[in-house]
Amino acid sequence: MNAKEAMERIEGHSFSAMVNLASDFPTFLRILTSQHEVRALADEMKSERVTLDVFARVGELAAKPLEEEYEHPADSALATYLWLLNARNGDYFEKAAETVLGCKQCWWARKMAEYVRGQKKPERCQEILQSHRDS
Amino acid sequence: MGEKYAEAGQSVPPVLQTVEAIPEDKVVLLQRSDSLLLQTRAKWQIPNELRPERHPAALKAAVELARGIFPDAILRSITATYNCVGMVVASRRTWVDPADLVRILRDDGYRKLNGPEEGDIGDVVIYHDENGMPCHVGLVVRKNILLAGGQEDLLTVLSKWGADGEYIHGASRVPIYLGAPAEYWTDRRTL
Repeated sequence: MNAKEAMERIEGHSFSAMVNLASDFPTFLRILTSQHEVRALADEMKSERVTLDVFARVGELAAKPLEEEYEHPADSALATYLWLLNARNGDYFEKAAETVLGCKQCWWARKMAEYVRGQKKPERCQEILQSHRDS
Repeated sequence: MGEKYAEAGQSVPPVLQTVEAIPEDKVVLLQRSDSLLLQTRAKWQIPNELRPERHPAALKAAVELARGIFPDAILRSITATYNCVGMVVASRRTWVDPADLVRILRDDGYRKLNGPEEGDIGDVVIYHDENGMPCHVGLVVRKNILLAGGQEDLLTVLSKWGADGEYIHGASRVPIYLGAPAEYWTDRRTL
């Protein structure tokens, strides 16, 4: 799976449905890190060009028009891109997190920005990340 | 002079709680715009968050996903505005973190049962993740005594699968990310 295919899947409804099986952020993180398309994009982001594409995509998605009564349509994708950017480039992550935190109607994406910035770190997340690293 | 109150649906700006500075008889209810005033019977303020609804297309994809995983699960309702804990302890009004669930049940006078065989209609099933932490919860809606042995689950449960659908299902028949049934709690009283 190349970067473009992985991003298309991450921005699709099926991916959103899967990660939204979570009732809390630690579970969201566990589902997210186990998805094939996320791992594929993480590999592709070893290329600086792909990392830059993902960073740029955060801006594009955040700027999409919203329907006020609904959650941001790219909420899950934004959370995923933040997670991946944080692993590759702290500067890109910080700028992307700022964009997301200024974005209305986000749920997981806002939690991800707050989590990675260290504002909220549920203990269970550490266990999940450790098991992810071990695997 | 009459005070002005927010009308239904009107957003209310966040207010910092300064309880120590307010005498008990003067304490007023404070409201944040992103959560509800919600307390346990022991008057512990339950942290909660109001989540926006997800787009109908996203909800439809969630139903299709669940149907693919467990075709025999019965969809009762679909909305993203509450989670499994909110369904059980907050009348489907808001999101409540599973990490707070046991404290809420204790505060509300629930007691832990010894296993599923002691469970009955209306009791609570807590699911644990692979680290033994609560990550999901449901309500018992049927006890399958007559089918024991012929059916996999003794208890049938109603629970909210993450952000989206509320399903009726065998207690163990949930997506793997929702963990496994581990604790059984009841509020039943007898004379």
